Amino acid sequence: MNICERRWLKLFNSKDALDYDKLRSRGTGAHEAPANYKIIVYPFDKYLIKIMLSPDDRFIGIVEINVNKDFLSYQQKATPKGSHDVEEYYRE
Amino acid sequence: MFYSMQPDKALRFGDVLQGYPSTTPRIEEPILNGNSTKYKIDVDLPKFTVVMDPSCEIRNQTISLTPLIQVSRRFFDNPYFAEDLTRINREMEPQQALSALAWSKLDLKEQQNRLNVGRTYALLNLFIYEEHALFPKYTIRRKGEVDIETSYSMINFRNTYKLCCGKIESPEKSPLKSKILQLSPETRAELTNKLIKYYARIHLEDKALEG
Repeated sequence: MNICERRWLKLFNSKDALDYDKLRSRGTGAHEAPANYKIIVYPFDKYLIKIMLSPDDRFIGIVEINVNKDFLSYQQKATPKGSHDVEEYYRE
Repeated sequence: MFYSMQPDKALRFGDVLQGYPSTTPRIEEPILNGNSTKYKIDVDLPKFTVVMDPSCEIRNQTISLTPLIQVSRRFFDNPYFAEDLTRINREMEPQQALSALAWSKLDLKEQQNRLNVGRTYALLNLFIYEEHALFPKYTIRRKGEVDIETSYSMINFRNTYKLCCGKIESPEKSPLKSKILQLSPETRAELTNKLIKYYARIHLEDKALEG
């Protein structure tokens, strides 16, 4: 039995080797978020910053920074165009 | 088709109803000291009113209505409107929103500003109801022009008020004898879109913030 086979056998025999939930939480790109932390999203300029806080809201660290794709301003979202200002021409 | 040929046995947004009074409270200034009686309530019985609630909000003996009123005689000064007043319900080009004469009186800068706005709505608070045999005809008198007989009507979103009626329990459980006309789905969509635009436009105070 070579070294690789021995490692596989050890892993296979260990109690948590086939624990699906643990395996899933360690998947590529996943961020482990234990229940005693919370993560909030804070919009800053054109970025969305995911921040990890303790249950009593103390800063722990930055988890992730993304570009905010919802980049339209309120005015842009409200309406792309105004309306024709003609009311005075139709007043009785 | 402006009106539905097969109206539902239920009240719908945009329906024309009869038999519901309208009320307008009047005050000279805000009543800030408890028991003042310095207010009046004008009560009127318009021939027709229009449902301004989405169907799901017609419940608990309460409904939002607005009176169906006569159109402005000045709409007929604009040939584009005069040909079909319901064009006021839809988006239009800047030049179509004014008569050719009014457009020609604008200076070039103002014309360009209006052209930059592009195709959009005019008279945002109004929605025209097409002529119908059930609506009484009335005469529009214009100086130096031929009088016009019409039964076009309109609603002004600003006239909307709340009415409580013990018989209105739900869209289906309502006095359906009061229902006169129902908009076609296409027209109801136009009414919805214009009402959305009425509320969604940029407020003056926010325009100032835009800089």
